[in-house]
Amino acid sequence: MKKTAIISSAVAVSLLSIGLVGCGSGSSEQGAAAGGDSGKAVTLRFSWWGGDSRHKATLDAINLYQQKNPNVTIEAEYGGFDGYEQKIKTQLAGATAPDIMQLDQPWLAELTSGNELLLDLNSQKTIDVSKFDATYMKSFMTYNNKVVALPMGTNGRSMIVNKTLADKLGIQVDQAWTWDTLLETAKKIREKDSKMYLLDSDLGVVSTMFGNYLRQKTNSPMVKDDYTLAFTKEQAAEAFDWVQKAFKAGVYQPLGESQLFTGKTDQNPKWINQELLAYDGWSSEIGKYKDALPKGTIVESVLPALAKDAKTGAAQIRPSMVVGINKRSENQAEALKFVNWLLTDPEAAKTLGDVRAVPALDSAKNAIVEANKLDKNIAQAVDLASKSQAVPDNAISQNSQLGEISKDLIQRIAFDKISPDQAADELIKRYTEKIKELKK
Amino acid sequence: MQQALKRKRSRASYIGLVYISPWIIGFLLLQLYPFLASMYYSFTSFDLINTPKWIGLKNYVDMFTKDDMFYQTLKVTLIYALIAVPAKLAFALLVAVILNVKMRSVNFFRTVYYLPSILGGSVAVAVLWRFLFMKEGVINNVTAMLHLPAVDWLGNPKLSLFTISMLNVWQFGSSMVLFLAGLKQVPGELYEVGRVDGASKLRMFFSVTLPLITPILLFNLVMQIVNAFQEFTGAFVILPDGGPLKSTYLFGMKLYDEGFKFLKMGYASALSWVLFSIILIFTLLVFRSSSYWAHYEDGGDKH
Repeated sequence: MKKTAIISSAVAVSLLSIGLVGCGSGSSEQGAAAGGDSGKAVTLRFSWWGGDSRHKATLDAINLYQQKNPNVTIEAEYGGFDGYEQKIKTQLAGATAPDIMQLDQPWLAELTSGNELLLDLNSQKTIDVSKFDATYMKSFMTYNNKVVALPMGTNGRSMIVNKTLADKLGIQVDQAWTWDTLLETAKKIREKDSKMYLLDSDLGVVSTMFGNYLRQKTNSPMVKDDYTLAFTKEQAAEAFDWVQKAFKAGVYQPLGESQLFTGKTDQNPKWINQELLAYDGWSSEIGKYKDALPKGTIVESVLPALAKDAKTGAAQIRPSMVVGINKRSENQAEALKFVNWLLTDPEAAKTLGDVRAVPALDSAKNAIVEANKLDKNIAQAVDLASKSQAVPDNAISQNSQLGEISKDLIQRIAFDKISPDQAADELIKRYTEKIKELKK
Repeated sequence: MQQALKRKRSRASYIGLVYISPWIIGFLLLQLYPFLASMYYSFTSFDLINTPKWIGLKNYVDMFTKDDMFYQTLKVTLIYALIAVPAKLAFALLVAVILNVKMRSVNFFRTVYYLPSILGGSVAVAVLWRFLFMKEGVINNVTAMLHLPAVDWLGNPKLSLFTISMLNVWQFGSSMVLFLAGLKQVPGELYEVGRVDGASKLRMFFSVTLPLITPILLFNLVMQIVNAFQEFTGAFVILPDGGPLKSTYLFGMKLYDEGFKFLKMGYASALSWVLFSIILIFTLLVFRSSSYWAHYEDGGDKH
């Protein structure tokens, strides 16, 4: 009796220890594959977000690379944008992040604020950073004198107009849009069909437009590099006043309806049913929005609204998305090799096409132009934006907590719970408090 | 002799520990450690990426003195629990009473009514809910056929929380199953007595059935209160940014935003400890009050 108890407990213990070894084996395998000598079997993890066309093109590129480098296996981890940021940040914190990560440029400031998470690309032999535009690299990719990421494409802010619908409604698309013409056009549209609106009212989009209104008044992002506010109370009140008028005039779809599709306006039935005339967004999103419309619908990219007395251009230009390499990666050399191929090789460029907007490298861009794979609208959006560039955002203005304050106030304006004047007061008060907290 | 006995006993307890070690290891790693860690983090400034920095009670002080949204989410969560919990229990009990009949296909119906509970927590159903209740959604199309005006179920800040609560009420299955089990326990002779005395169906329900299933009611009430305060998925998937004027911004969503959107893990941990205390207080209140209304057949309610 006693014996069996001892035996069975021994069995239990050994079973348990097998279980524990099983848990640990993943890391030891990785350790064995370290070194990254070419020829050795290597597994790399690569994560990105996007829509179907981007997934397909990226998977094709991965397959192509694997054919050329049979020793490399690339595990793709992809999905929508929704929740991607949280996932990557948590993985980085838990040391389980992929080797190669597609990131959004505004996150870089937060990701480089403490422990080094991303590999410094400056000192790497495999990648020649100098191929990329120097000012671009300096203003968007360099933090603490380290190049932490590379641009996967260039994005221009653009207003994407459903031209087919505009023609039907008799709206002229090809005009210099101002804040006033947006209001007037909205009235015109709504007189013709009260189900229609000019723009989607995704809170992120409205708050970007709010920021642009102020940017054009002040020639600066909302918060300056020295952590002071760039705008006065009067300017903020004026911008809020425009937002209020825009909601009343029907420039924006009522917030209560669009909030069900926050961050995924391409799924908003209003856009799909062609009851929204335009979308204010980045050129990299154009494909997704076109895909949601019926075949044959013509879309045109124009510059976003620009005030007549604006002190800066209409559209921001920035990397569409960037790619960084995990500092903890065991196969940094192989990861660098893959990234280098993905961004610079003409064949890779041809496979990827414009799924991440216009490639940042001229050689890659030319390759897809030659292959006739650059979407007309995307090219046009970036081209227009580069001719009317707005002063770029800085790290502090992109802080997610500050953004939340603007969104909250815009929301209360939209629901008529606060006057533009009160909103401006509160904006300044809460921004000042939050900036003080962030400065530490 | 005695020593040998002692040794035997200690070995016996050791073997016992080995047997339950899967549970113990699970408890230590997945419950106790996170529990204590979050307690520690709640006194730190921790952004997930850098090592936590001790800041004492600052998170808690900031929460109560500086964070307006904290009070807003508390209010929203309380109202949510006040709508969802009673409505769900009442509905579950009603369906249980209806299904507590001797009929040939009754098991089929029991299964069907239980289904939403399995599906309800999933993202797909929350997405479906969005399409049902959006302004041009299915519900409004149906009411339009009846010539009723369209209601903005999710876009109106006064209604949105109610609509979200309904998703919870709809998942009444597990409470219903428990109520059914309770109803089966009610002795048939009590109903007979009632019938002889000429009591109406309604009277019998309130005077016989309800008192006898109060222990089940107590259990359901506690479980549903705990669940309602922790609700996250439905509200988050339907209205990820907290809904019109933050009217559906539940405490769980605020916790998530602070932790994973703003990377303020220390603050999020402090929030979760506040939530924990709130749930604890409500649960204790329910237990305290239960001696007045929960009756046990074996006399367990008499201390």
